[in-house]
Amino acid sequence: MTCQECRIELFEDTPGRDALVHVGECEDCRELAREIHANAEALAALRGEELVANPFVHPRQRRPWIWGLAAAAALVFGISLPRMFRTEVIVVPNVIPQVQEVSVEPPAPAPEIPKRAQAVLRAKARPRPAVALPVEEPAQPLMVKMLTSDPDVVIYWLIDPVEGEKAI
Amino acid sequence: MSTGDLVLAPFRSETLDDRPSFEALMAAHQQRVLRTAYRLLGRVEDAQDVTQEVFLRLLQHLHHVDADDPKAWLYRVTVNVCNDHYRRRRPVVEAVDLADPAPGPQHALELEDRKQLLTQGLATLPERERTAVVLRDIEGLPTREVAGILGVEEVTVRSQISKARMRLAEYVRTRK
Repeated sequence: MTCQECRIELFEDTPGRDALVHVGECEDCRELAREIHANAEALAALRGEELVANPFVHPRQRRPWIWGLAAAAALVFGISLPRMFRTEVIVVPNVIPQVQEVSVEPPAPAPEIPKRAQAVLRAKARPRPAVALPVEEPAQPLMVKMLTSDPDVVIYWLIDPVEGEKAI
Repeated sequence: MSTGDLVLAPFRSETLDDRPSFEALMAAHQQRVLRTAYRLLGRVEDAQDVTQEVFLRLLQHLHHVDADDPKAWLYRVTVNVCNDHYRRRRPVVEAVDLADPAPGPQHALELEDRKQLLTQGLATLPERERTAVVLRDIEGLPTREVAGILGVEEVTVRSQISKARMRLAEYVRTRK
């Protein structure tokens, strides 16, 4: 038997014979067996101890005010939380315009127009052709060129149609 | 008869009839329950709470409990109430005034040290292993009875006890 197998058995209630034989041969496992025995002895000794505390001499107060305080805090929190995250919602009143039912009468028939009057109206409504008005141009002076015997002399006559003739 | 009397009448009729036997049971088993709860939770105040709760349940279920041998019922309820307590609060080992241990010079001192270490080590165990080792090694119940109290197979209890002993031995070895 290996030390590992022996140790596993030592922690059980009744170790096997092989484990006990191994303990007799192995110092490490023997030390472990002593430890386990000492622990078992100490645990069993805990059984005999009596706690000094007596639960029924002074029953503990349950402190109900703590629960009241917690409930109040939860209430405040519950009230304030929605306000913290509330988004303003403007409620727009749903206004429905009141429609008055009006009895619609058919329009009265148009008065009959005589045929001649209709022809006159059509003629008036017809677009007229645009008439181009003559544009008065400014009058040009009349120039008369007179040649003389001397080829170097030329006489020009400028006749203004408004103010009269003028010789240059 | 007032409204309160009407409400309480059935409870009173039971409890008043059984009051002497309830008191006798409480006197006989109070320390056992208190001690077991303390070993499981590691704090005297919590153990006191649990003890009160256990005997309150005993009072309420007195007719369903075997009065000749209520140990198994008391252990089972103690373990259940401790488990509820344990889930709300992890065990904390505190110094506690215990009754005077067996006198003796060196051996007694060593034993006392070891008991302190084991008490601390118990708090480090997983819940199921701690419960099994408390019932088996401290309370000295047979494995079969521990299995019945915990509602598991005997082989499971043996496994849990072995693991718990290993962990405790390691805990003590590293702190000695």
